[in-house]
Amino acid sequence: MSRPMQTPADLCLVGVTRRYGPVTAVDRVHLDVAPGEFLTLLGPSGCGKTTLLKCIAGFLAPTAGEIVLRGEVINDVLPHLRNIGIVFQHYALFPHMTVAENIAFGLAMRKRPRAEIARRVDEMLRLVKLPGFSERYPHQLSGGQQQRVALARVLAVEPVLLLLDEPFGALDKKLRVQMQIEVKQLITPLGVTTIFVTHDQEEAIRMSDRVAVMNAGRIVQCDAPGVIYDRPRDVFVADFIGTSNLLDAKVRGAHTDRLRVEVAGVSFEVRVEAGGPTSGEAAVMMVRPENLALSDTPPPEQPCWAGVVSFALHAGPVMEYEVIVGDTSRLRVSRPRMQAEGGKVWSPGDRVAVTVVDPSAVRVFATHADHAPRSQSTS
Amino acid sequence: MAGAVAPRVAPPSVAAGRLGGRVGHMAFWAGIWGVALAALLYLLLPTLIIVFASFTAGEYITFPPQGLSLRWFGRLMALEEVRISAWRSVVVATGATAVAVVLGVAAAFPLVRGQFAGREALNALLMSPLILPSLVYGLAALMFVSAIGVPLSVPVLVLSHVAIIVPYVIRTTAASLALLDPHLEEAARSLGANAWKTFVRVILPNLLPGVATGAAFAFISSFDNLTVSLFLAGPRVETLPIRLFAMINFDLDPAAAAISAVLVLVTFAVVLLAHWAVGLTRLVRL
Repeated sequence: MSRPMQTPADLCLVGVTRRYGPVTAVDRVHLDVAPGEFLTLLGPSGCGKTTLLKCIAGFLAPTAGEIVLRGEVINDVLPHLRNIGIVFQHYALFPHMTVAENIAFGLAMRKRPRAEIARRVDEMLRLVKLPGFSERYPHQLSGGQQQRVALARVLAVEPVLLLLDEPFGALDKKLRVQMQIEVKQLITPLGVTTIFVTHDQEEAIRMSDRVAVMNAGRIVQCDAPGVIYDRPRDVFVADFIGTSNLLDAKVRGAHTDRLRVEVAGVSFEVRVEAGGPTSGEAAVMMVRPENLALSDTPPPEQPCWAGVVSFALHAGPVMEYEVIVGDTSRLRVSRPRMQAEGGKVWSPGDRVAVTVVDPSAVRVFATHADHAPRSQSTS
Repeated sequence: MAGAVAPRVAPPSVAAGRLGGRVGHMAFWAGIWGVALAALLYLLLPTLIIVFASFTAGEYITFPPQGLSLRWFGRLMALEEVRISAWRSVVVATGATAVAVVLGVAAAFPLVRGQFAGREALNALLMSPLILPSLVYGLAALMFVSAIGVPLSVPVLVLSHVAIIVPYVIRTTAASLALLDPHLEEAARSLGANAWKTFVRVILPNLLPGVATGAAFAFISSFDNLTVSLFLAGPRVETLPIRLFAMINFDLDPAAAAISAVLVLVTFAVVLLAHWAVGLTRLVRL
């Protein structure tokens, strides 16, 4: 979960726990964030990510555990003395202040000289590409502009740590993607350590150095986005990140690092890491939709399912299919529309053969009682 | 497939229903407007009549007034006890409002942001002066004050008014506070403002519309108050409503109507002032 650090971590969470009465919102979270790292707390609503953020910011006291910022335990430090900047989902710009006054607020609280504040405000407005907006009020700005002012306001005080609490949640999809890129371009050269909270897995994968996937108050997996996507540790992560086919599988035989599993009547040979399911056990096999291919006739010498297309839909760059194989198993298949299969498009009712493109990208998980497939689907 | 289906003609009942709907719609709005205008007239007419009557040139209160003049307003100015009681009412209402604003704004915070058992009960308790008969409160306050041996005076009157007007300030401030994004406080704190500075620089400016509205209500209900003042004013601490009451009891001359007109005017002025203050703060809000 934690990776070796060359430099001492900027922020360490040591067994941080937060309970509300009988409910444990954050459960023994351990996390090291390296200086300049962009780390995302990702999870469904109610997973504890916002509670954890509030503990770091100082608005909530952890019930147990330590929050260590640059080597100093800050559990008892009041929020205004922590020098941690936050950008909120709805920006929380001060509505009665102009853009310039908003950006100047933190500096004024630090009793910086007037001339320095004015200079810094100008510098920040240029940084967020809003020069000439200094005398506007927040309600006169668009969502994206408010977002930039919120960022400028926080960055003006040069915080030790930057917390972004679902900052793109209020923007429409197109603007959201644009702001993701803009924010990333803005923050990276400043080298400020950033913790980003979101429930949007796409956003998490796009922006982060590392993603900590949270579920039920705990960090389930903390890895680089590629690793999270390609090698999820369990069914929850596999289901939450991207789209997955999670198929009931029977383990027919186990070798040292390989398993023979049977899924909907077809046998596969799959690589597993230590701790995988053992022979005879029920398991779950994960295949990404883009790792499945369709053809009219079964290809020779390759395990394949025979099925019927139940729906086909255009999703811009890809075609998305659902194929019913066996009696009940439904496979989601997505194929790029340009190159694949010579531009062939199937329609509902077509009989097809489904093959796995890259067997090494298939994962198999043991079925634990607490990780029944589909029981904890994305919310 | 769709081409094979014969084009369908809208059945006549659709058009008929549309016409019926329009008539019903108009009847509905005519009804609403009718009731609203009737209610407005019912509420305003007596006040308008007394204000009109105050401009009479005659010797008695009549409607319509016999000729127009300002002679009764001039007479009010000449009556020393009226001038004294009017000024006292202004002083009492201003003082009571000032105290009520401080207490009310402070009380609104735990009521909105606090999380403790009995919050609703406390809310009901703080609102109770609005519900309790003020006559009962006046009597109770008088007994309390004499029991602890404090002589009746202007400060006692002010404090007794505070008790009955503070709910207005609490209500409107709490309403503003409930609408205020709690993240504003967190944003201010994270930017380095301590709790005190967060309150003064960020929260209070955003509550001003609510506070101003509450203060206006509070001022008006103190300025107009008769029942509590009757008990607690004492013989030498007369307020304008008490004076008016005495004048009506004595002889109903148009000076009483003129006092009423002044009361209406002050009330209007305060409401407009509050409206203007709220409008000013609205300008820089959403």
